[in-house]
Amino acid sequence: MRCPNCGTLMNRHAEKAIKDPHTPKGEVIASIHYCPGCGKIEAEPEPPNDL
Amino acid sequence: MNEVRHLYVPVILGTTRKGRMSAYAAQFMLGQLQKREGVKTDLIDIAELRLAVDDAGEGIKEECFSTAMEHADAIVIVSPEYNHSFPGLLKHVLDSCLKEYIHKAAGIVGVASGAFGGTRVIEHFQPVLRELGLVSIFWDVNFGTVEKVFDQRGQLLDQAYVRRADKFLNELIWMAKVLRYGRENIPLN
Repeated sequence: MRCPNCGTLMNRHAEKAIKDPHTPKGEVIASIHYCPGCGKIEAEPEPPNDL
Repeated sequence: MNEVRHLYVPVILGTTRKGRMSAYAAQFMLGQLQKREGVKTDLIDIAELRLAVDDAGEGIKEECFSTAMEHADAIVIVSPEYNHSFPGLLKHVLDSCLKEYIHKAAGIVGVASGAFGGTRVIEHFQPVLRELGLVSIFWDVNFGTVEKVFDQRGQLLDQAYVRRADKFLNELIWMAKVLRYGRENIPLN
């Protein structure tokens, strides 16, 4: 993922369960990306899995 | 030229109570951070945040607080101990962010009028920090019998706290640097 602020390639450094009552399991897994250029953080939902 | 970004370590003053002695502790920690080269800091007073109380979590995200947490490499949480735990409003504020905290360092400064210096509030914080994705350091600062630590104008009376804060900030900044390196350079898999 490219940083929407500065265009630097972001580093995917974590996956985190995030509460989401609108999903069958009540939560989704999000990938967390960090921009080495400007410190911007993005969270991107992962596809559903069997966890 | 690739400019090295400073570390940003805001101090969160975690109570809205009138007459709060924690404000003196927060100002003291802010001053200690301001002496550090390569570190920028701000005081975030939760009494000045305008968060809704008819909802909770990321649904009430406040832009200034969220931006500060996104830019932060570490946070110092100054929390009094109310009935053996942290103030409810502090939890309400912290719960308004999530992705902003992940793989960042956090240190707790406990404040209490009793002799234990907020040790119970620090212990109560540990599972909360973990769930928020923050990384807790193993040094704390405990302002016990706080009425004797600061005078009525907020001047520090016990200079031992300078050394204690130094130990705490050394560890916090080390952890902040390590975690920033990890966020920038080490992919999950």
